[in-house]
Amino acid sequence: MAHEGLRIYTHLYIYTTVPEESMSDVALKPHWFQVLLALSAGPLHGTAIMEEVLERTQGEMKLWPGTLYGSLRELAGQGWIREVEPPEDAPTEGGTRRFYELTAEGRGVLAAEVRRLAGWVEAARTRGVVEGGEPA
Amino acid sequence: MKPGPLYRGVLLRLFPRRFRERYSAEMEETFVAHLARAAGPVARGGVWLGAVRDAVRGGLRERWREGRDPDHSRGGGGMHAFWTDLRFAARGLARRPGLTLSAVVTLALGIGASTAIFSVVNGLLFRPFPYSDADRLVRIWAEHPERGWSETDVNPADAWDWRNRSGAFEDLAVFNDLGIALTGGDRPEVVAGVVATPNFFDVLGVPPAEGRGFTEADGREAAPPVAILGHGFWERRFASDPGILGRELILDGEIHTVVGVMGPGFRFFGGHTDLFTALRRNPSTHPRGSHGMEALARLRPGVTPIGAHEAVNEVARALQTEHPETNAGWFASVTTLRDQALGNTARQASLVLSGAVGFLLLMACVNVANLLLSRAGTRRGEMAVRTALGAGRRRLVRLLLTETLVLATIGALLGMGLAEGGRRLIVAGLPDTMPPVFSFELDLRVLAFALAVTLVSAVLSGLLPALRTAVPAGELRSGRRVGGSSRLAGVLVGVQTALAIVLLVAGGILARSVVAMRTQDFGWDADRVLYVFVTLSESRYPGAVEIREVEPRLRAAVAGVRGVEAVGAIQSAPLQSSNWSTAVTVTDPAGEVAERPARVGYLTPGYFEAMGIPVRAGRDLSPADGADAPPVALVNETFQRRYLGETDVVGTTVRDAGGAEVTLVGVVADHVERGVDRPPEAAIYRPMAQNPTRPITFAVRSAGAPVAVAGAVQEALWSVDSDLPVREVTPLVDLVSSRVGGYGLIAQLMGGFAAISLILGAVGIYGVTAHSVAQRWREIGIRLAMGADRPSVVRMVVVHGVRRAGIGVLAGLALAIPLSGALAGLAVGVDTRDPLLFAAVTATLGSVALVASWIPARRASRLDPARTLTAD
Repeated sequence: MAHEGLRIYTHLYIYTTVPEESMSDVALKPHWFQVLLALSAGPLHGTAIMEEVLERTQGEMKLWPGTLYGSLRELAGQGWIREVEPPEDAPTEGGTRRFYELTAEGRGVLAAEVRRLAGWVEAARTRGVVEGGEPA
Repeated sequence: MKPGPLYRGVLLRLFPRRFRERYSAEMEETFVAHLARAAGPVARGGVWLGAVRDAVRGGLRERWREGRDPDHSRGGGGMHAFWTDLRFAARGLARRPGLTLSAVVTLALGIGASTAIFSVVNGLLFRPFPYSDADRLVRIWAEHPERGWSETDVNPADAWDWRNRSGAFEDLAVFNDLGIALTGGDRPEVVAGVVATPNFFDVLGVPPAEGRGFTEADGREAAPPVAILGHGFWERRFASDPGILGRELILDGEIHTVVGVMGPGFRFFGGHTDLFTALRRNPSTHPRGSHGMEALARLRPGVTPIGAHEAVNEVARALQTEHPETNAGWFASVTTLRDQALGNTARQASLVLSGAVGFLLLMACVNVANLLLSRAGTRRGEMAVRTALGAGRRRLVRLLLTETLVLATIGALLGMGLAEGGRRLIVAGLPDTMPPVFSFELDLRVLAFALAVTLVSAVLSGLLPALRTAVPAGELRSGRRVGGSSRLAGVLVGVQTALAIVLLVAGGILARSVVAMRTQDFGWDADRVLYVFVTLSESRYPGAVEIREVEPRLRAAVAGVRGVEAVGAIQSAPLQSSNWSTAVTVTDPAGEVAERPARVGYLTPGYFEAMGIPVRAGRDLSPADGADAPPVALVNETFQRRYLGETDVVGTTVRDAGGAEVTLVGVVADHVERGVDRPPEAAIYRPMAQNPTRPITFAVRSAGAPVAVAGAVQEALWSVDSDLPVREVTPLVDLVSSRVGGYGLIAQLMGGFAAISLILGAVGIYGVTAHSVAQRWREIGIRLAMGADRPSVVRMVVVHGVRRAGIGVLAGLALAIPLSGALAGLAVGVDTRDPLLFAAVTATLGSVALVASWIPARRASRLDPARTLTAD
């Protein structure tokens, strides 16, 4: 019993090294995070988001159509992204392509998530889990 | 069809309509973009697989969401209607508990049995072995087709040439499993060891959990001996001592340093193993010609086992010309590790038992279909009301199918309990000769199978009745009877009877085969024989002289034990899984001289007596056949018949593999040696004194139960050599049981399925007869009123019922005769087309049909005509 308690304390200890404001947030789903990150540089349409994420994660995260458009719908429902007019020079494939951009709220959520993750990485690093100071 | 439209036409349909309308064009574009990035058919297959998974998951998620979202639920489509149907079906079933219960139990039996069998088949055929990328692991054997030798041990030097010259392998290791004497503790022990080239664990792709693996340096001749322990042995012998690394063990008299411990999940595919040592010799320095080790290799990526087979044999052919005196006639064969571990019997059993549960499941579905059909008439009113309220036929069918889906789902949940129990029973009953690399845990594949079986049984048992029940309104109004349902039921009963016949025949054949295996004439008398297996270590008994000196003393000590009637020794006794063979040059009756393969036994006087094997001609070996006496041998009857003809062979000579002339002094009776399921092979028996061996099995015949003398025999051996490691003490009857065990399990399962099929068949025939009697209620009433006597009514109903079953019996026999051929490999020593068995099965099922139709017939004959005529 005592051991259970001790274990919980070690976890809390990790959390306390994380910046305050992110502590209230639950982790973002990984593919939501990637979609938001992809949109942080500017408006993109669905397939372009998929490709951006695929390349940036070196093939680690494949956004399949159902997951991708389901996420876009939900993220828009949350108010974190919104549909925008396609950029002037972009091919629209006969009007079927919808472009999305990050809302201010979405940008905030993304930043909070990044801070949360950074806090964990920092906590791990101070414990010597990862060697050196530079991320691989 | 192009991928895009195919995706749109099939996978996108899994998403709800609204989602599809909004996103389908873009989803297709994204899918095509994924596909465009895939190079090669394998990668494209991966994309399709990913898209299927995504569509199933995404489709379910979106439908679930729309179903919950009040804004969407008015759409009338999909999920909402399904929930309504589900509620309705559940209510309907609760109103008919009798029907619900029997259908659920029947489906639970069918689904449970098939899932239990599949969970075992899954372990045998699909679940990966505990090695990295295990699909690329292969075993390589030597073979000599001319002499009829296959799956023979390899020569290490040959194997090293295959490794270095074929180009087919990433790496190849040679190894040998053997008993290693562990001394220096309080009690000498023979541990199950594997000596292997240092790359052994690299080939398997599994490093030790603690310490290090073998290095190339460990394989040099002068290297200090090292050992890696199996996890179980480390626990058992060293109480999981964390300081084990660096400890020294005396193995076969030599000090070995422990350098590693394998993880708890590691299993050697050859069987239980306590420890591993490195072969301290370059394999290519082994003399060619002797075949005493085994080979394991990892294929290069992209190389198939067949490709490797060809590449290895190309090298083997080159070696034949390079070393004609040792390699002439030697080839090699490559089999995957799984095929090797599985063996033919288990593979065939998987197939046969899968077929059998398939039949059982079909029978269960037919039963439920019949049950539902019998209610079709009574639900006409309900259907009429629903039609009047605007439900189309499709909707009614869907509703009724939802009902069977509910039945099947409840059945499946119950069946899962049965399946899990069954799986445990089967796994516990697997023979211990089974390699320990198979695992039978439940996994996603089993769950997916159970799900698929549930859906299939829902459709199989529900579709026909649903089509019959959901009759269009017009036909209802016309007041026409929903006819034909009884004819359909009759057909279904026929199908069921046919399936039951097939299962009964299969069960009968396998049961008889097991009985035949157990009761066959082994040629020896197992009842009171004990095997005591020892290994004479090289350090204590360096050569032939020492072995010749100690063996008779050991034997004499055992003979002196109270309760021991006879004792003899042999290097490899029947059913011990070792397979010593040699080539003998004989002159056949036509005067032709030829080299012939034969099993070889090196044994002492007293062995045949202890085993109860009669000498048919000439004499047994005697103590006079010593090292310096002229070489002599006995042969078995098969050797005599096959190679020498029916002549009197005593006194004639043959040449052994070394070229020495050997006089045949006797012929012994054929007896089971390699397996209870194999016919005797030609064998030659030579005096151990003339050919000493390190492994020795003492065959001990006791006056009473063999286990009673086991302890005393062991003490007697230790009185001669207190460090003598005794590897195994086993009554021969136990070996027989364990060898028959696997077949016994198959027969028990098949017998169980046959019994269930008989019950299902009886219930089916009873149900249909009872239903048809109920439909003919009025007709029977009229007949009785017109003066028909009761026996004639009984006769009429019974004849009708039996005729229905009879057609099924005929169809079943027609089906069983070709199908029983599939059992040929599993049924040993019985005729799979034995007419007596077919007759017995027909009689059994016939009497079941008779009883099952007689019960409702009797009830019909007791009707009160007045009541039936005024009813309705």
